[in-house]
Amino acid sequence: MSHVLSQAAPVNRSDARLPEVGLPERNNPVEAIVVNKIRLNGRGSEKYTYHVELELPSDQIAYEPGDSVGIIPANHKSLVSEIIHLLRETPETPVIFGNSSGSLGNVLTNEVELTKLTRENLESYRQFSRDKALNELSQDLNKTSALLQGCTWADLLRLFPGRINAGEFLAIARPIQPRLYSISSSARAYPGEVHITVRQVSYNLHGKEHFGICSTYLADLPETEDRVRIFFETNEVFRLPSDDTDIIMIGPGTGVAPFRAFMQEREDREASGKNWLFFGDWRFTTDFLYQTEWQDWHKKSLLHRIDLAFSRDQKQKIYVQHRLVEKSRDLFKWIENGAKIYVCGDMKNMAQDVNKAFVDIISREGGISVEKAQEYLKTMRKQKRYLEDVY
Amino acid sequence: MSTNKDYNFFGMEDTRKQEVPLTEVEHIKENSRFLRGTIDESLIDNITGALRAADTHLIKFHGSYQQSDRDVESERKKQKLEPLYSFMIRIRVPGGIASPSQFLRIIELGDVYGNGTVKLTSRQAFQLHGVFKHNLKQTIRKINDTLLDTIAACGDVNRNVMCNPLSELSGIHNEVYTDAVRTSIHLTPHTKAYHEIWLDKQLVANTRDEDEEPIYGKTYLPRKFKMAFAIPPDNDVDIYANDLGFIAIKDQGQLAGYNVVVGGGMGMTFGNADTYPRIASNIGFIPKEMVLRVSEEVVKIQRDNGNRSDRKLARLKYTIDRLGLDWFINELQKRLGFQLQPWRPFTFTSNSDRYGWSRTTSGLWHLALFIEGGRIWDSNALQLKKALVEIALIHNGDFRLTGNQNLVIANISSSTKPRITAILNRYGINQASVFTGMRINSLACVALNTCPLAFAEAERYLPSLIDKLEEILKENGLEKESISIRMTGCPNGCARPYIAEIGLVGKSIGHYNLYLGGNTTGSRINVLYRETLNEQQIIGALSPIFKSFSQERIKNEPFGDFVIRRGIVSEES
Repeated sequence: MSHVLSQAAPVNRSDARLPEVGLPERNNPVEAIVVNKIRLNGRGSEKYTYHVELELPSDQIAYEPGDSVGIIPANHKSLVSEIIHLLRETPETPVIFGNSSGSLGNVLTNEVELTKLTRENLESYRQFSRDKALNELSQDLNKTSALLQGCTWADLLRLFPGRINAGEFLAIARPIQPRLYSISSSARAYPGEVHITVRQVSYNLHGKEHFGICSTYLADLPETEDRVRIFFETNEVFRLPSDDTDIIMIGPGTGVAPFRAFMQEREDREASGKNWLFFGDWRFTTDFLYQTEWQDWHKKSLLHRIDLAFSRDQKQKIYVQHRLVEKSRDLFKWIENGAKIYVCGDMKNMAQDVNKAFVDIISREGGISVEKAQEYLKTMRKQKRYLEDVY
Repeated sequence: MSTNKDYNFFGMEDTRKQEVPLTEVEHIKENSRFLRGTIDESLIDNITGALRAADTHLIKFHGSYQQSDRDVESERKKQKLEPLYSFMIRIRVPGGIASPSQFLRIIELGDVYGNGTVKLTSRQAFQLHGVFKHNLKQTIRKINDTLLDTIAACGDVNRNVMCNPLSELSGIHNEVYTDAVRTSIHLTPHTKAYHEIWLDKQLVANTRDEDEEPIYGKTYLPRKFKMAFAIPPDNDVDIYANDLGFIAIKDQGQLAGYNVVVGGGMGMTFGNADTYPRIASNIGFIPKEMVLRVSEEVVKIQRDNGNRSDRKLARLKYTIDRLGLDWFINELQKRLGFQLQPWRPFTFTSNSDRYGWSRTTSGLWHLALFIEGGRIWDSNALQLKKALVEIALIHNGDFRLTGNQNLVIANISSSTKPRITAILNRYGINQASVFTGMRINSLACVALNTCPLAFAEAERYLPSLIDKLEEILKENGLEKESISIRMTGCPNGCARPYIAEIGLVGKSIGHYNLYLGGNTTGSRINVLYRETLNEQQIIGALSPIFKSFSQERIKNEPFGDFVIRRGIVSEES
């Protein structure tokens, strides 16, 4: 679950217990040590989701549940060598990129964004390529968007060959972009540590296997003792409410990450509000992320309710929004009682389906029209009672 | 005489009342409302693949054990995943006879809901393995659609009733088989819980009042109860390992009745001298009409007198040894209201299967196939499952499960015979005769990775141990010698290792106790020869014995008799 960084919000610490220490921001990342890395999916799963525990240089770094951590990744060896090959260069070629210099291999690995291309990248590259198709394509906004989707520099250089050398390439490429992950730990529960939950992204494009840069970088890290450059980004909106407020958490897949932090925090604070989780993934036996932890919280009556949707355990696909509708009466009671709703995960489909499910629930259980229900939900959003961390 | 109203957990008479507290399982049964417990709630609790603790005991009575894949236990713990729970489902096949369509359906259910294999058990049942909780209900429902069922396949009740699968030549097989089925039906629990939970039959308004168990009562038996019918000279059901056995006795070609044997059982517990395997005792002869009454009264004696404070001492064999065989016979006669007759002579010749082709009196054919470990599956080397499915599709006779985990394709017509032979040849399914005598006389329980009781491997390991032993047998010219070898992963004895000529009982991963001296009719308990041996030590211990056996045996002397005659082990009195 990564998304390219937006502008960092100002830090405003509200927690009184922990001393106020500035969080390492984007401009001054710190080195964290990987102390544990576990694949969360059981044997036989098609998914590769990793739980990564990082040790921070200080246990005074007091991020809050809902915050994100930025990871500055390195590019994959195979991608770097393919680009060097396509540029007809060698890895040892000395180059300069912005303020840094070094061998082409090192610079491409650590400094240059190779997997997420912008329109500007494409436009700049067009002059080096004599490819007619690329020229035509760049006139069409829809086609360029489609091309840029998942496209790496290697794809572009291979599909539309052009005369471009290393220096020219580095002049039009942009610096490597950090990836943000919703933190899956509470600094109260794990001082000096930050946990992330990352699913390795891989997809087939232009006849080649592609890997998400950061998820692969993390997945390939040795299980311990490697160092990662990280920083924090606060999220002033996606915050736990007062301790006595009930919360409804909807986080399928890695969207469950911040809710693990929420539960750790609420357990540590002995918060009296009730907690209800909706989680979903492919298969119960292998893809129930953090299963034993949810079970423990459920047993201790800290997680009051948990509903699960495993889409591939039966013929018809069942998703979290279906479970929401099944539980509409109780959900509406919780909402009317002041519960806050949190949605984390996929923006394109899940967030909209969940939104629609809540409109249905409010309309049905509140006995009001769909329009009125939409307004009801809009008001909840305004009151920051319906919060999303989607990407 | 005890009735349903006056019996209690401790025994019928106050003088026998034990002051020791009941086991937890007794309380679970007592409070289960005739085996319902909270199974229906456990099934829909989808945060876990397991049942609630109490329900894991009750589910056994419904024919299923909760297990977990022990191969992945530690890695899943690290992955923050609970153990990989799944369910073994045992399908009762009284007397071991199933139709081709039932056979096909069971294989298919194993493919769709199980781990793609079907195990033929040592008690003529089918077992599916690896069924996840969310598929359990529909699997059991679909089993019932085939007119087979799973109720009382496990649990503290009378389980699958065994019967020699191939005794057509005796002329009385059909009658004995019918008695086995009738007994099975007679002793099936009456509770409607099974139908409610698995078949969605309407819940009876006040189940507590409606249900009753005229034979068992609401706490059922203190422990499992095993029953078998044998037709001499075949003892492939291992009658002496059963709580209750009926040995068919012929008179002028007709079934006259049965010799009754009671108190057999294999299980023991390491380090507990009060536990032991026991050969069933012959208590007398009954006319065939009395078989249901006798089975019911034996069950009731055990119900009223079995130990309900220690499950390790709860089988009928311990009840009999505690109260005395004479007491038992008297009690049985008192309850029956008639005397047992003196037992009648008979001879068992073998507890092995009759492999290969045989012709029935009606001109049909049987083919008894050796199924290693009783496991029907497709490996890279052998596509046994595919072959059997093809056969089942054209076969118009029936299938028979043997007590030795093997399969008989029975009542093959002369026109189908060449087609079945062709399928077997095409898939390279060998007749038993190509294997060594040891391999076709091998039995192994499931053990790791799914049996929660296992200390060591059995089914997954025994074939490769036999590979190595075969080399030594060949060196000594013993490869065709029928030597029974049975391995279990724990001392509970599911593969009946204590009556094998060579018994191997798992103590810890890679280590086994070696027992020697069982006989070829299953009527003698073997003797512990060496403890805690690894593979090399097992081979090292057996090699010199094989050698001297090949050189010093008396003509046709079985291996188990030889080791006793030569004093390698001494028969226990």
